[in-house]
Amino acid sequence: MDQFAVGLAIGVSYAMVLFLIAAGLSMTWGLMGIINLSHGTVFMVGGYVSLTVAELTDNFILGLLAGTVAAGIVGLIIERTTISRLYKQFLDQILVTYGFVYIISNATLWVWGPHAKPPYVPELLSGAISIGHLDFPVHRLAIIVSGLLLAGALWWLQERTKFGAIVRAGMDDAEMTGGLGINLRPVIIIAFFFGSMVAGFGGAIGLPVLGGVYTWLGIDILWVAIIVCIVGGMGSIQGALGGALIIGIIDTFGKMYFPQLAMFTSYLVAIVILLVRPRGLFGRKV
Amino acid sequence: MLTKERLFRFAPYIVIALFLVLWPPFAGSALVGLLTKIIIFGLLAMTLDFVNGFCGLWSFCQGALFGVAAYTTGILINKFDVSSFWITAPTAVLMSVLVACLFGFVALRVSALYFLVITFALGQLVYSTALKWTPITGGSNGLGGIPYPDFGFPISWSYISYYYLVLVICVICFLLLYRIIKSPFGLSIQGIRENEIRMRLLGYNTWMLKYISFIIGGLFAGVAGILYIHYNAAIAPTQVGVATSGLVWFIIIIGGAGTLWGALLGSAIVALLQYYISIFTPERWPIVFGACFVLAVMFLRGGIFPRLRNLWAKVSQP
Amino acid sequence: MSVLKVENLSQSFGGLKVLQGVSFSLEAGEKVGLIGPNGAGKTTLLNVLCGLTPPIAGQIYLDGHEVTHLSPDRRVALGLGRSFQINTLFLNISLLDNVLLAVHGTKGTRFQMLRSIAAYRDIHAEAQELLEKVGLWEKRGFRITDLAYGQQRQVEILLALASKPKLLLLDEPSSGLSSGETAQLIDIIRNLPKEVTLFFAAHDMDLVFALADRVVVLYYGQIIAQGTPEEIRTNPKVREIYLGTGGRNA
Repeated sequence: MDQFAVGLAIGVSYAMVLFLIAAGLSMTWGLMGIINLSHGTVFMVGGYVSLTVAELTDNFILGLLAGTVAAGIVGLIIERTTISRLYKQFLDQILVTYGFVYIISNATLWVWGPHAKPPYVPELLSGAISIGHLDFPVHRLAIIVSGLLLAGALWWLQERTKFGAIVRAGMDDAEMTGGLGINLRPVIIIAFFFGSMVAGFGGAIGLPVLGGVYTWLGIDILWVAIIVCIVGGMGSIQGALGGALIIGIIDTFGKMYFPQLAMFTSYLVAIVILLVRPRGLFGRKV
Repeated sequence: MLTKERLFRFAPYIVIALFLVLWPPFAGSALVGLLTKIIIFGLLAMTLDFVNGFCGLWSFCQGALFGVAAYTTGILINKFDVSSFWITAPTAVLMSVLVACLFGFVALRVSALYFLVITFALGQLVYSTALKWTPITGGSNGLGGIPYPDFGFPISWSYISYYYLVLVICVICFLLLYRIIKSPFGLSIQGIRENEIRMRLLGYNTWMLKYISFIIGGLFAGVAGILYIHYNAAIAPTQVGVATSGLVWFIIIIGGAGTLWGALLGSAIVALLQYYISIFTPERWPIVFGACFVLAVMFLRGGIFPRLRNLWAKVSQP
Repeated sequence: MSVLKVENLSQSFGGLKVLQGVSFSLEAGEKVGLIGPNGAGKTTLLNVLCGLTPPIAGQIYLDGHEVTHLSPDRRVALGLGRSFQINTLFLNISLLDNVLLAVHGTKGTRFQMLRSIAAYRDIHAEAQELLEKVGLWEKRGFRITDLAYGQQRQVEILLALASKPKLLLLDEPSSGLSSGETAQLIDIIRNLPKEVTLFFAAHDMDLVFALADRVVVLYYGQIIAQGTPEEIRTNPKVREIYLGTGGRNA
């Protein structure tokens, strides 16, 4: 029973990290109709930058901020130089993000080298609390808490603010929204920037969960994030959170009890959902 | 029909054909090896051109279908001691076709964007099977020590003779694909690309047509896979995943989709680019590749081949 | 047996009832106009009839065969043809290729993979005949995007005619055409074989009077009147809808 509880808790903390990367992916998917394949590398940049800054300044919070901002900037550069110029050419936009995966992955390889870097865990968050016979790391608890707080904040942004309303309208019917005199372009840019920052934050704070950063992290985690969006449905915070929880928990228990099948099951789940319910469990009507 | 004007118009093609046929015995092994690789990947890129440039399907799994045939050949030779080309080749192509039948059936249930995602996912399934099923596929090391094809009668294989085999097979494939494009079926898949709803209201079963073209793409991708493993003497998981599927996208974007020739031109450009960049900075090749990919999508959409063709048409008309 | 029989057809989109209990039939050779204000459901009715969207209730019979859930391409094989309100053409291929595709759609040889399409002389002859009808044979090498709008509209109708349908569904055929082009369109339709049944949605009353033997009026998804053009013109309910005058105060 203890093992189950700890497994569940680990699954939820992993889910929070997935949520942080899926949120931005889901937003651009819902708002612009494109899958930003470079989003995973943006997440990874957040991890690398936060790690380096934290190690240099011995300050975890500073590292966190640096990672978040760096990721946001990378995302913004991608949007401004390419995506915005390919207005409405969805499939071309996806191809362009694919090109950026190569550029950013190799750039991080160039700067930080091929070896995986272990995470930086500050004094405050090290150590563990005990649940029954087993120990549960404090930093994972911190991830869960901050993830939930951020989810709450983003949900509030989505449901209770004018900005959120415009985003939701833009997702439902971009032309109509434009017809009402609302300029969607700055909204798209902000959503892109914001989504990248959230991913960067996830990369920074999620390092202990993922075991560190390495060059292929951007690509590996992207696929999981896509599955999260497919399962949960794209275009909403609740979709990203729901999908993340499902995938995070299934994946953790899968690794605990059926390690061989881990990779397979996630691909199969995605394919099944795409066939049976393309808009995902909590998604907007596609 | 062999007028002077026609000869002049087709001159570039004739020159290239002569080069491909006559030069290799005088060229070094590096150049011949490069040419072999260019032709093989040109064929693979043509399958993507067929499926996307002509039929409009956003397939991200041509690399996987290529890999299925390559691995089948490798497994038959290494694990089951079956070396006869007359058995390995048809089996490998059959496997590619079967996998294409399965993938196509699944992927065609959804619309364009999701088609891309599903074929991406299916391609990844092939990659992870190759990676994990170590007893059969050799795991992350893949399969090695694959010899040149065994036809049953003695052939003195060298990089030159294998090059000619590849050339002959690819020319046959190119002619077949060309024939299909010019046929009623070929026109109807272009109609689907342009306006699927209209095609349905003209009496075409568009689902079936898309399915068949996807399978044809898989068949020829399998041929490319067989040619590759005998050329490379080995196959590894990284060569059958998204990297290859993405590479052929790059090739037809740079070369030009919807032209078949563009695939060959794009393949040559990419191979030469990779060769020269690797001399200076082999580690930075992905950045160059990624940057060129982005630039090609932004500024070279339509590819180089159509531009060259138009240029030559203007130049050759007095 | 009627060429087309529609019983109790209903369709709704997300709670909005677009068609409610629509029933009517068309006999061979009839030319019937479908009129009604914007949003009445004319295009939806045509979409359901040709199979692009399945109805939530009701039946459709083509020549006695039930086709309610049959796919569009099978209905075309049974003799249905349709043109669209917005040009639905193959933009990036030549005009000739557009027409070849249309002519070939109901022929068995369309699955051929190894013979060049240029070898099919009879298909080319049919295509030439069609293009000469509207004087566009000289432009056969042009891409659709290089043709004028009126010409594109003519091609739109031509594609529907190519399969020599028994039942021809036209959606606002004269929209965007000049009066000269409209006259030419009327000519083409009048010259169709007598057995061809025509069902066309229109806003242009002149077109309706020129072509229709009978008119069906659709209002908010329901048929509120049927009759000859003269009868419909003087029908008080119809006048009310179009002119908005209150019945009593007219």
